[in-house]
Amino acid sequence: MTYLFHIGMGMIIIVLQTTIFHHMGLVIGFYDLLIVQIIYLGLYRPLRESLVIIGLVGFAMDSLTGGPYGLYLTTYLWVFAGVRWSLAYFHLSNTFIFPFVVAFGVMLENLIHLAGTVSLESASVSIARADFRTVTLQLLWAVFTGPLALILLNMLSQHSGKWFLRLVTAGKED
Amino acid sequence: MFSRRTVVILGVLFFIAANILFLTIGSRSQTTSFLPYRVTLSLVAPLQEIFTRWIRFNEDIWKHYFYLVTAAKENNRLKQALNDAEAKLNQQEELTLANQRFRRLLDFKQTAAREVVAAEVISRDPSPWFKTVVINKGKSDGIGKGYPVAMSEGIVGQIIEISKNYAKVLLLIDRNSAVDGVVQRSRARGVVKGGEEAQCMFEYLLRKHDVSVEDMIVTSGLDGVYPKGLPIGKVITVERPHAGIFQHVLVAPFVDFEKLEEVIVMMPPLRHDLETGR
Repeated sequence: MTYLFHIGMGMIIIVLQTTIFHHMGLVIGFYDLLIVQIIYLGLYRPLRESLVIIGLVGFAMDSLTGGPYGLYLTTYLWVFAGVRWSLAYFHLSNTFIFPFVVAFGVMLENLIHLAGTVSLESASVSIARADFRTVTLQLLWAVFTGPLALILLNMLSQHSGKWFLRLVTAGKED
Repeated sequence: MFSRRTVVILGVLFFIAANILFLTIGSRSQTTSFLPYRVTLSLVAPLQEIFTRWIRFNEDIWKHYFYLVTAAKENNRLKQALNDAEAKLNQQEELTLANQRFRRLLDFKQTAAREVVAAEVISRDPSPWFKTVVINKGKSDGIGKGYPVAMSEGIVGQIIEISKNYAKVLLLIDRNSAVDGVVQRSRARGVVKGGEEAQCMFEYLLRKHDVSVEDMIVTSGLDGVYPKGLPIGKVITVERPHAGIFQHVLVAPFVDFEKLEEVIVMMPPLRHDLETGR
């Protein structure tokens, strides 16, 4: 059930990001919402389960982007590893730390994507003022909306389990 | 033999090195198509197409209906008449605009001297670092990897990934895009590369070559991808640095990439002629 919920959630986020967000004019300033899901997996879900979900979601994103093969998969794995590693030193499940955790994830994603852009043969190594503006906007969005998205995802995840149990129980009673 | 700390550091260094190697191989192998990505594209793209159509439908309702309802509250008697009239007018305007767009595409199709396939943009790249779109035409429509994509205004990009019914297009403004171009007036040659903020750079243009602001850049046809003479953009700034042999030229593309809705994919003339026996 957890697998189904997170893979479904990942697919919904991907479709939203590639269609609706562009019509809402959010693409330049808004961050990758899957980062929130990856952080959630890093904070609350077991390693094996998380790796399967990250693999599928990262692969789907890689098939839709123009970057090098495996860029999103790499990004999500490093964000996940960063969150897991930080758990040993910080109490990351504290709500007050959420903005910084999401901002860290968004920053790491942008750094890896920049490296990915540079790694392509024909790309020139230049960071424009517009890139700084985009990253700054993303960080601001992440700081203010990331914690809410994380809390919402946690709530949905918990409730989805309960709904599933209720469905199974109802099915057995019938 | 080694402390736990040393093993961890070595492990992390190993993973970083493996990761860089993986990404480098990934970026080098972009010339070959990757089957699982094509399959994923085929699975996700229909959902994106449904969402895009749903959004456009709702946008139409929002733009053409709701504001009429608000206006109608002011005068009940005029409500019905105004509603009908505006609905018809909007419908007509939409039809006129669509007609204009299709007419331009048709004109382009007739002047392109190549067989073309019209396609609709169904999704855009989720990353701000890369500029690609997905279109609702694929192998089953006869198009293939590397085919140029254009609009009546100018070139849009080229196909980099293709599945049965969908294709991914690398836009002209992507940092990894490069098109061989010439200044239409002076025939000075250079390479148009994706730049910043939906603009392009006209690179490798020698200092001695004649180029000025407002000059039009067109495709040279020498890159083997785009046919000769297609409009690319207009020169907006020219800088001649004291050092170096090249000029710094910035080009504004004719195509508005924020408003891409319909595009056309151009078939290679030789292959088409061979297939049809013409």
